[in-house]
Amino acid sequence: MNNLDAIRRQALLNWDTLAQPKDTPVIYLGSASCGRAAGALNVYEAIQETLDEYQLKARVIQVGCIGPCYLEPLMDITLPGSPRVSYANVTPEKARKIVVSSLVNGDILPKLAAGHFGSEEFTAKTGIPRFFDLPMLKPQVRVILKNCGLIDPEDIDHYLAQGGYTGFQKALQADPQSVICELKVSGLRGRGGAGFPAYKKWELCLAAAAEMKYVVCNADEGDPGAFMNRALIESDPHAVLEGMLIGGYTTGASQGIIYVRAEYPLAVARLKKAIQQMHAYGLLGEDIQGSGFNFDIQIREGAGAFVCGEETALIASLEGERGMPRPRPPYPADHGLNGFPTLINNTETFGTVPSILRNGGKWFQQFGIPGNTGTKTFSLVGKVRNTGLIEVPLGMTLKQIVFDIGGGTQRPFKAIQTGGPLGGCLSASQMDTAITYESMRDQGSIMGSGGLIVMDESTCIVDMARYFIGFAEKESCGNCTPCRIGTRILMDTLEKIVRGEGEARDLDTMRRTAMTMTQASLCGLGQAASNPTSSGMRYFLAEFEAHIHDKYCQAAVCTDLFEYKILAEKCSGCGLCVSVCSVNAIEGERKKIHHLDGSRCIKCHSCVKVCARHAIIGIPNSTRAAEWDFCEVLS
Amino acid sequence: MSVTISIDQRPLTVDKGMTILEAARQNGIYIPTLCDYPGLASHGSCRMCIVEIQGRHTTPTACTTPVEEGMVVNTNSPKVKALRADVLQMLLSEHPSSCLFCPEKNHCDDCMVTLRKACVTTGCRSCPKDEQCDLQDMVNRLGIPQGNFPVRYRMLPVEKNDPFIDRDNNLCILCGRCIRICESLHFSNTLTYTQRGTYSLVGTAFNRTLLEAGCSFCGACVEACPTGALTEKTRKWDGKPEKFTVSTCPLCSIGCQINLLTKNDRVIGSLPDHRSKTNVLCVKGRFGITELVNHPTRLKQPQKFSGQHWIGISWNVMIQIAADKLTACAPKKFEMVISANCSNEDLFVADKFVREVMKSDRIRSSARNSGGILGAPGKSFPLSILQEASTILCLGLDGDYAHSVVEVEIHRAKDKGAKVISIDPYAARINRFADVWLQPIPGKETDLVVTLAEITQGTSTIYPGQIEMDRVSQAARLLHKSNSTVIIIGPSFLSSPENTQLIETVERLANQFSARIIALPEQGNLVGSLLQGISPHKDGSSAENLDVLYLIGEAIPASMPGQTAILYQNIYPPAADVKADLILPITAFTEEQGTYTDYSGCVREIHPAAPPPGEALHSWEILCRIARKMGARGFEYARVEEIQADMRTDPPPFVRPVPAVDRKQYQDNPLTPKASEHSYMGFPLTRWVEGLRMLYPGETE
Repeated sequence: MNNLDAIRRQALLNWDTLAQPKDTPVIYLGSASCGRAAGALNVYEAIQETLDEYQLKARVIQVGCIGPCYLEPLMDITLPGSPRVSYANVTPEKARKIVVSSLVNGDILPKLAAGHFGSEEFTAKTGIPRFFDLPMLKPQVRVILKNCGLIDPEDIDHYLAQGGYTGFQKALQADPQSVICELKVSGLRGRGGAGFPAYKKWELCLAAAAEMKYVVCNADEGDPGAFMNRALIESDPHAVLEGMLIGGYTTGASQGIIYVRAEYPLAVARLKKAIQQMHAYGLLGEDIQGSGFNFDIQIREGAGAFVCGEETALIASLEGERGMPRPRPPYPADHGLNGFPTLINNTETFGTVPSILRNGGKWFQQFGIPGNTGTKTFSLVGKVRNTGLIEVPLGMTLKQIVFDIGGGTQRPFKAIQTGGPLGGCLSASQMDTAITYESMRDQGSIMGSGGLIVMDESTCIVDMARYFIGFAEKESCGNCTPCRIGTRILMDTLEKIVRGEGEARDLDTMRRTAMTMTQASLCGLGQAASNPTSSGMRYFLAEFEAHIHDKYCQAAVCTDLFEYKILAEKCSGCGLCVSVCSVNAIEGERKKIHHLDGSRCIKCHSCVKVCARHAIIGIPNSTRAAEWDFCEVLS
Repeated sequence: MSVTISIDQRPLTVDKGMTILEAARQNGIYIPTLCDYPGLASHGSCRMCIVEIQGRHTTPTACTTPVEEGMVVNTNSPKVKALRADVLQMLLSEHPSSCLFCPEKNHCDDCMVTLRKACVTTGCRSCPKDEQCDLQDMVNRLGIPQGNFPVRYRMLPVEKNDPFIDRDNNLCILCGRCIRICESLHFSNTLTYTQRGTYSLVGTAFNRTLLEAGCSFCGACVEACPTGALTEKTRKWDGKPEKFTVSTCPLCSIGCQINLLTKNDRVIGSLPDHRSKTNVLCVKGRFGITELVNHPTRLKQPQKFSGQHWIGISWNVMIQIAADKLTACAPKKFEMVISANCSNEDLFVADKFVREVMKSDRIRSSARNSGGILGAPGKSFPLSILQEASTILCLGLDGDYAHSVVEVEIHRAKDKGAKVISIDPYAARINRFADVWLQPIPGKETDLVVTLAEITQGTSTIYPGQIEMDRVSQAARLLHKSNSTVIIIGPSFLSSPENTQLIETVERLANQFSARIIALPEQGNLVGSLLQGISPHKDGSSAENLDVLYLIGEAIPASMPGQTAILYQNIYPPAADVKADLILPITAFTEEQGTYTDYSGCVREIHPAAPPPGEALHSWEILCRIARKMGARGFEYARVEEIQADMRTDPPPFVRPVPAVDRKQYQDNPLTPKASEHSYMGFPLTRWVEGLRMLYPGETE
């Protein structure tokens, strides 16, 4: 223990020189996958070039994701004597300008700054808001994301300086039962989606007697568009690893495995580094910190199957078998990997454990509401203004999240998809729902791993249902009848509807299929795959009926079910749509109302995107109406 | 430990470790299943056995849910019934099932005879599994009305490129029975789930043919398949078998118990007889028998050669001619070669005939001698001892096809921790799983065995060249460490030209390690023939000297001197280019009552499943008639039981010790036909069974 404390003391000292530099400024760059996708690596090059060119001395640190991905690339600068100031949407040119201005001229360009990490006084002095007071961040409670975007994920000392591994040290001094007690008091529920009380799983695994046990971290985040786990691992990998270490110690396991999807190479690289550093500090290996506890963590990569995020399928995959879910019981806590008791939890669950151990279970309870304590990360994406990774206490309403944190939608709000591809779609009238495991389920959706996809009136719910069921159809393992065939039936029916061949009985067919899938499937994928379709039919029945009976897609997405028309009252004759149309379907002189020929239009949406007046709308498809009337006469 | 539960309001006391399905079955409560199969672990994929359990909101499957104290189960509530109906309808929506719902289904049966043999199955009437299909059963039981899920015909190609087995994935319901049986019963892992989701298929890795994927064609998957997805090529259009007869397969010496299926007095197939504890067969016994015994060229009528062509004659005439020829023949000018595929009763009567009627001792078989290992009691042990072995030494085992049942036993033993050493010149599958594989050059097997023996005995260390010595030493070490060793000798080693030295070496090894030996000769009744004193060897016989050569179940040797009269008694006609004088048609084993003695000395019974073709008679019957015509006494047998009674009571002189083999004599004797390793009645199986030609491409006559 002693040497870890000593290391931490030194780390704290080093951190202080970073947070309050004496003479060398520090430049931070958001360099998780979101930042990189926005161009952070180009910005990094620009920073380095600028420093070289002007012969400036500065420490450049790549950090993880701080949350508001719509602001990436984010670059922060701490000048000696000043707090850390953050600049958003930084391009290489902008970076150059800011670096030169700050480091050479001492002018931090307050007008360009997005926020700072100092005190109210600094705000008063410069007019720059505090970063965490920004509308997107203010309502958030950052427990799991505490270090994300602020520390260098590839430096264990930074983690130690923030109190990292104190949770583990506390666990080592207590006994396994007290650790489990803390978890119980905290009320932490599995963050992978099912919401099973975490302490129960740990308790079962501890109670199982065997010659060895495993701890497995499920980092196979397969939901399309979800990146909570990715961001956590890329920004603060030690939080997850410390959680696994605590889990291993508490349950008596000796081998940890973190199963990461192969599509996360940066996360894998950072994990490898972090594990190496743990070994160097004696936090992995034999007789850790003199406690007699042996533990090691290995990384195993997935191979591109969503179904391997299901815990028993994941275990099958680790065993070298086909990733097919297995019936439970027996539960992994009793009989898991290679037949041994296995504690398998989601990345975020493990990521939360260290802070619970560090601050106590009661501390965690203060967030959230009884039965749904603590905080959860969500990825807020879609048609909302402020997209990114957020962390809020459970029990916050959808309305608060979308409108307060997300800044609302530009076009009228239509729906929100929660929980990923196996979650349901809720409408505006459900926006006062507080996000809890139970309420989501009651509304016909799930909490899932925390994806929140916001949709506006330009989204077609039927098309959205079709997209998600197509996903489930391809990702189903194919083992059990209801899921394998049910997803196909739903897909065939939705495609039929979207092609304009919908029939009245299709709604009942889908309802019946959905019920069979939910009741009779072997695993969670089959049980939940029909959620987008079912909730779509529940809350947006009129839209489905319009598709089926009227052959009309009001959102103008289903190409067979609408044609474009230019509203005379809105058209300003600017000619932009004429110039972008690749098939010359629009004609019209300047300052004169334009006309669109539906029979030539290929529905590429280019004109819609370019029209500032929203003058192009979708109307029922008259070209195909005759054909459908004919079919109706025949049938 | 037992618990009390209630199923459908019936209180039951059951064992704690049971599933709800097991508990229900034990108490006569029916729960429908499709993916469940005896002997396999439960899978839970078809979802037909879902039940309602009080206190749980989903409907779990009965086959995977263990019972708990106080559990209240309902197997037939309206909710369960509706869900089950939906699941079944889902299966039917992807399975060509139009016949099930057609109002004319009872009328079209008579007209559909030719239409059935379509290559594409679009409904029950054109499906090879019609009336034998579990899905049809399920529909009949559960009474499904018109389906209301949209139908999809998957349009998958029908796999027909393998011998014996056709695969039609359009009929597959993905129950996984074939996969699980291949994996757990045969340790072969040939079939698996490929792809996923709606594109899931049962197939082989990389979509290879079964042959390429290493299938041994045991046919367990075909037996397990509930629908027509997996079918036997030769049984496709026969429909439901009428009768089942338990018998013994004679195509090798293991003596597996088979169930012969017959219809219209014709053998249409064979299955392992599970009640007799035979759970798996090899390709020969599983798929070879139908074509073997039903070949259109099977002899039906006695014939004599007129100088120009063959003329059919009556039995009376034949017996007279044969008797005349044999009466005129001096004992030293007579020889009988009888196949070791014949039953003990045939062999007994033949031996008696040669001694008492021909006053000769010139009777032998063409089987290659296997030294003293066979025939003597306590020398060869049954396969079951493999399960107690800690080390198994395999010498020349054709585990891929002919002895795949042995390979299964070896895998089972390996699962329990046994170590396997294999000495085999060829790259057979077993060698990949062996802990040590020693690969001699073909022809030098004996040298390698001798080397191994010398190294284990510490009498030699060097054998430069052909094989890495550390592997031989590794094998020696394994043998030394073992506390229970079994040595298996396959037919190719048993009948190799140098088998005397080899068998002596093996016996020495066995003594050194107190190992038990399992010797597997090829021919079904070789042990039986040896026990009756019929050996391959004969002193001083030479072709020029014979007046009459009487062949029973043996092929005619290639070059025969002109004056020898040949009596050819067989089920198949002789090859076109050899001469014979009389053709006597006999019964195949599927038409006989009798016994064989298997490799371990155990007596196995055969029972008739079908009548003999045409006028074919049993071999013993023919010999008895000839004997009586020649005036001999003691050949009045009317039934097999009478022969067996005599066999039991006759004094020991009838059982002669096996004389030592003179290798030179054996090799130079032109009368010794070269029986190939897989043969029946003197001809290689590949001649009659087309599929076997793909498995043994080099082995045609």
